[in-house]
Amino acid sequence: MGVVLFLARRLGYSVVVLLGLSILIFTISRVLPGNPARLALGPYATQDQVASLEHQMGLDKPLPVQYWVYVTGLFRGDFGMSFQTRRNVADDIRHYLPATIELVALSIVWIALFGIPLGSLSAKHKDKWLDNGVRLFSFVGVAIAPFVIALLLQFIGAYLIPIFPATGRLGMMVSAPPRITGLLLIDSLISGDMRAFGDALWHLVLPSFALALGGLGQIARISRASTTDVLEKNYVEAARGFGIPDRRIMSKYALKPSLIPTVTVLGLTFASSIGNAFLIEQVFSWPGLAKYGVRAILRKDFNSVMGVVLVIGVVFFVANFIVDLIIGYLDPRIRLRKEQQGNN
Amino acid sequence: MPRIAKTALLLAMVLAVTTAGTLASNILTLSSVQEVGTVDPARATDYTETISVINIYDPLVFPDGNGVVQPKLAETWDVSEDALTYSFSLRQDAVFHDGTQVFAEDVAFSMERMLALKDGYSWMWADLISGIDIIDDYTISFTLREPFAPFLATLPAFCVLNKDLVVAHTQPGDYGDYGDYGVEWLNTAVDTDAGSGPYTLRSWDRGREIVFARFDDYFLGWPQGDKSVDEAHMFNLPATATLKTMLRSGELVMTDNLRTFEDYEDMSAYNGVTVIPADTGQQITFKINTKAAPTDDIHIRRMLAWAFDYAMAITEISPGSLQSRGPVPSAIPGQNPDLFQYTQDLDKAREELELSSYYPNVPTLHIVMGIGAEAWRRMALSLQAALATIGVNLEIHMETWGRMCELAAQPETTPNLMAIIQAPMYSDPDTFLYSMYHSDAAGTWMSTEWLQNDTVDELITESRRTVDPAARQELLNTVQEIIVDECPDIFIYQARLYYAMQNYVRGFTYRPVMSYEFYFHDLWFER
Amino acid sequence: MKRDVLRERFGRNWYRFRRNPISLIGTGMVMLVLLLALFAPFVAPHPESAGRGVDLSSSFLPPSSAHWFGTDEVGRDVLSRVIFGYRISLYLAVVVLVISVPLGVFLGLLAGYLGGWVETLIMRITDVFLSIPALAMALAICAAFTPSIDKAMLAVSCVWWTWYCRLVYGIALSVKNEEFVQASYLLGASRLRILVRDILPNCISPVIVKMSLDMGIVMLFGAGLSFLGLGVQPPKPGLGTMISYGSQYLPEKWWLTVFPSFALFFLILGFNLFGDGLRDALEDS
Repeated sequence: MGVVLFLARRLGYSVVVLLGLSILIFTISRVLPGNPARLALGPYATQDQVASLEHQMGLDKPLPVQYWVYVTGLFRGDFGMSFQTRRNVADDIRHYLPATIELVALSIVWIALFGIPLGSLSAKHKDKWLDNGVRLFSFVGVAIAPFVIALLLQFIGAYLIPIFPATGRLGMMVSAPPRITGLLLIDSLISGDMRAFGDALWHLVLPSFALALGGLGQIARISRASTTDVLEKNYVEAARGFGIPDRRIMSKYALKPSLIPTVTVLGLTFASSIGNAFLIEQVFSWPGLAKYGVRAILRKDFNSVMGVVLVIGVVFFVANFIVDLIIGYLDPRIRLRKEQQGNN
Repeated sequence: MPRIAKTALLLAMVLAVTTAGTLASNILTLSSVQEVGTVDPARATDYTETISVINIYDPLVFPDGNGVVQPKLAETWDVSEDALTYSFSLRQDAVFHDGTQVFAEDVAFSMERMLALKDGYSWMWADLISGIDIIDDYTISFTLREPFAPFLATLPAFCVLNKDLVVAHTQPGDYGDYGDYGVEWLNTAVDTDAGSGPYTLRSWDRGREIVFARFDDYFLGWPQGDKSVDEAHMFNLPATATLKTMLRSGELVMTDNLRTFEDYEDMSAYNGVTVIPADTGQQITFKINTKAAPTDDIHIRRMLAWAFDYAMAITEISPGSLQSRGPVPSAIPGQNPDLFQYTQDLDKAREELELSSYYPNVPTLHIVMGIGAEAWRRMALSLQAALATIGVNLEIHMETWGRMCELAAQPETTPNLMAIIQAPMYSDPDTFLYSMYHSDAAGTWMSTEWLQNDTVDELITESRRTVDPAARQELLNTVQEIIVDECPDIFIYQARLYYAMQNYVRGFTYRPVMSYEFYFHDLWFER
Repeated sequence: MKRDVLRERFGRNWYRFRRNPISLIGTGMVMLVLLLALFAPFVAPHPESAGRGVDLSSSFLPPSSAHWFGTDEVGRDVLSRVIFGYRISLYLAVVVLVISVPLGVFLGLLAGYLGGWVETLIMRITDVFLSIPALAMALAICAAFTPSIDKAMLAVSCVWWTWYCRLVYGIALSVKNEEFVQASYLLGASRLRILVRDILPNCISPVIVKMSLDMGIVMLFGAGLSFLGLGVQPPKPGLGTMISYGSQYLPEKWWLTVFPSFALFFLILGFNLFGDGLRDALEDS
C-alpha cells in the first residue's frame, strides 16, 4: 500500500534525523568545557561529590560507550538522568508535557471553533464588512508576535479587568486532583473534583486563547479561501438554482469539502503551536515543557534538552503524519500528485 | 448549558475557591521563585529545599537571631579537651511523625547517610568526621579528624531522619545493606516523610506547590495554641505582578525576599500588609582575580576599590543596606569591627593608578556577572563610567551561571572581576574566609580571587583549629585585616532584604543562615 | 517560459504591483525600516543607548519630548534602542536567507534538472532535514553551545534551505519538459547553460515571493528565541529581548514593552504586506 510505505519512510527519516541530532548534542556536550555535574550539585560541592555524581551519571566512561548506553536506553524508554532533578528525564517529561499538551489542545479547539465558522461566514459575505474585518484581523494576527499577544491578553484579562488568573495552572488553595494523565481537565473529571476542574479551566482560558489568536487568523483565511472555492463550484450553483436555501447549502454542500484544506492547516498549526507554546508558557509562568526545556538549556542539562528536542520532534512527526494520513485518505488525487512531486 | 449560566457557575467556583481556604484554619501561603527539587535532608541545597527540610525535619542545634546555635534535638553537649570529640545528649521527648522516639541510633544513621550520599550539605563534614559513636539511647558523639572550631555552627544543616522508616523503604542500590538509602522513596513520596519536625509533608505538586501540615505532637509544643499555623503552602510564583495582586487581595500571606526594592516599596503601601526589613549576611562583592593582569598589581586593585561608588550602591541599588566592612558581614558573629572601609575617591584612585607598573598603558579590565543581574549591571556600568574618567577601560560581560562556574575553575580563565553574591552557609566567619581565600578551596566561584597567600592560609587554618573563642577571634581579626589590606575584592554591601506579609502574622524571626527565617513554627496569626 | 516572455510578464507584474494599495503600503513600511536600520547611528537621537551609554540618573523616564519612547532601567533611550533593534532583526533575517536561499536554489536546480541519482540523493536529504522542526534545531544548538542568536540563526538556516530546494525543484521539473528547453538541448546547449538561461529565470519570481514572506517568519522566530532568553543577549537591543525585559515592569513602566512590541509589529506587518503584494502581482499561473 502506497500510503503505508510513504508513512514508514517518513518515520524512518524522522528517526534518522533525531538520532543525528542526538549524536550532535551528545558529542558537543561531552566535549565542550563545562561540567553539568558541578552545576547540578551547586556551588559548594566538593571535588569528591562532583566525582561521585559523575560516576553515577556514567560520565567517566568513554564517549562511544556513553552514547551506546544512551541510545539503547532510548529504546527502552529511558532518556537518561537529568542532572538537575536527578530523576529520569522520561519522568520529568511525563511531569511537564501534559501541561503543554493541554494548552495546545485547547488552543486548537478555539481555533477550530472560531476560525472555521468565521472563515465560512466570511466567504459567504464576500467583500462585505464582515469579510474585510476578518481579513484585516487575520493580517494583523499573523504580524503580532505570539508573546506580545500573550502579554496583551494577560494585561487585559488579569490586571485591567481582573477576571482571569494571571499565571499558573491552578490556584494556590486548590489541590490538584490525583494524577492519572497529568491533564488537569481530564484528571479532575475522572476523580469528580469539579472545583479543580473549574479552577484549571479558568487558568487555561487566557493562555490557550493567546496561543490560538495567531493561528485563528490563518485558519479563517484558509477556511474562507476554500469555502469560496467550493461556493463557486457548479454543484453549488445547481443547488442554488434548485431553490435550496442558503443555510442548507452552507452546511450540507459547502462545509465538508472546504474542510479538507482547513484540517490540513489545523494539523500543521498544531505542530507549529508547540513552538509558540514555549513563548506563551513563559508569559503565563506555565509549568510546561518550555519552562523545563529553557532551564535545562541554561544549565547545560543535556539529557533533559535531548528529551525535550525528541519530544518536539515526535509531536511534529505525529502531527504531520496525521495530516498526511488525512490528505492521503481523503483525496487520492492529491496523494498521487504529491508523490510525483516529491511530497509537499 | 447557556453561556451565561456557565460563566456564573465558574464564577461561583472561583468564589468558593478563594473563600473556603481562609475560613477553615490558619493557613500560611508563601511565595517562592523556584521549584522544590528534593525534600531529602541529605540532598537539599537550594533555598526552597532548605525551607522544606527545616520544617519537616529537626537538626541537633538551631541558630537564633544572632546566628548562635541553640539546643534543638540535642539538649546539651560537651566538647572534649582536645576539641576532637563532641558528645550530644538528646531530648527524651522528641518523636518522629510516625510516633516513634528519636534515638541516638537515628542520629548516627542520618550522619552516615549524609556522608555516604555525598550530596547536599555533606561537603561541610566531608573528610572531617572520623567516628560516630552511639553511647546510649540518647547520647551520641562525633569524633573529628582534627579540631574544627566552626563544627557546631555547621550542624543546623544536618537533620535527623527516622532510621526504621527509611530502612523499610530502601530499594536496591549502591550502599550495601542499606540499598539506595531510601533516596528513591524520598524522591517520589509526596505525602510521607521521615522527619520529626513541627510540620509533616501533606502534599507536593512539583513545580507548583508544596504543602506542610502541623504536627500536633511536636516536642516543642505549640505555645500559641489555636493561633499557630495549621497549614503552610509554599507556592511557586515567579511573576512579581501576580504576587503583588495576591498579596493585596490577602490570598498570599507572606512573600519571599527575592523581589526588587521598588516592589517591596509598592507592597508596603498595601492595606493590611507589613514589610519587614532584615540586615542579612548576604555579601555582594566584585571579586578581583589577584593572579591575572593587570589586577595582579595591588595598586590596580586599590584603584578599583577607590573608584567604586559605594554611596550609590546603598542608596539606589539596595536602599538601606549597610556598606560591607571586609569579607565577613556584621550579621554573623566574628566580624572585625575596626576594619578599613573604602569610599569613592577618584583622586586616590588616580594616585594608585599612577603607582601601578602597568601605568600608563593599563590593559582593558573585564567584569563578568550573571545574565539578569540588572542591579549589579548598574553598579558595573557606574564603575565603568568612573574608571573611564581616569582613563581605564572596563568591559562588562553577562554570562550564564554555568559559564561563570567554568571560568572560575582556572586562574587563567577567571576574569579580572566577577560580581558575586555570597550567603553564609553556616553562621561562622569561616564560611566566608575559608571558601574565599584558602588555597585548598580554590577553583570555585567563591574563590575567584585566587589569593593563595601563605600567611592568610596559615591564619585561616589556625583559626579553624583554635576552639578557645578569645584566641580564635584574635586570629580572625588579624586575617581579616590582612585580607582588606591585600584588597582582593571590592566589598560592596551587606544586603538588606525585605519580607512582606499580612499584618496578622506574628513571630517572624530573621536568622542569618539561609532559609532559617522561614521556620513556620515561629509564626502565629493574631487576628 | 522563455526569457522574452518572462520579461514581458515582468512589466505587467510591476504594473499590477504598483497599483495595489497593499503592496504600496507594505513597500513604504519596508523602506522606512530599511532606512532606519541603515542609517541608525545618524537617525537615532541617542546612538550610545544601543551600546554602552548609560545614564543612571535618567532611568525609568516615561515618554517625553526628550525621549519619545522613554528610558529603560539604566537610562538608555528606548527609541534609539528600537532603531538599532531593527538592525539586528534585519541582520538575522538576512543571515538566514543568504545562507539558505542560494543553497536551496542550487540544490533544487540540480535535483530537478539532472535527475537520476542526484535527484534522489538530494531529495532524500531534503526530506531528512524537513523532519526537524526549526525550534528543535535551535534549542539543540543553544544547549550545545552557549545561547547566542548567531548560532541559533545558523541552526535555523540548516533547516530553512529545504523549502527553497523543494520550490525550485518543482519548478525545474515542470520547466524542463517544455518545448523550448528540449529544443535548446537538442541544439547542443550545455546543461549548465540551460539551467542558468532557461530554468533559473522561471524560479526568480517564486523565490523572491517566498523570501519576502519568509522575512517576517524568520524575524518573528528570532524575536521569540530572544524573548525566551536564548537569542540576542543583553545589552544588545534585540526587540524580543527588550520586550522580555520590559515585561517585568508592567504595568507601571509600560513604555518598556509597548514601544518595542509595536516596532516589531510594524516591522513584521510591513514585510508581510510587501510579500503579499508581491505574491498577488507575481503569481499568475
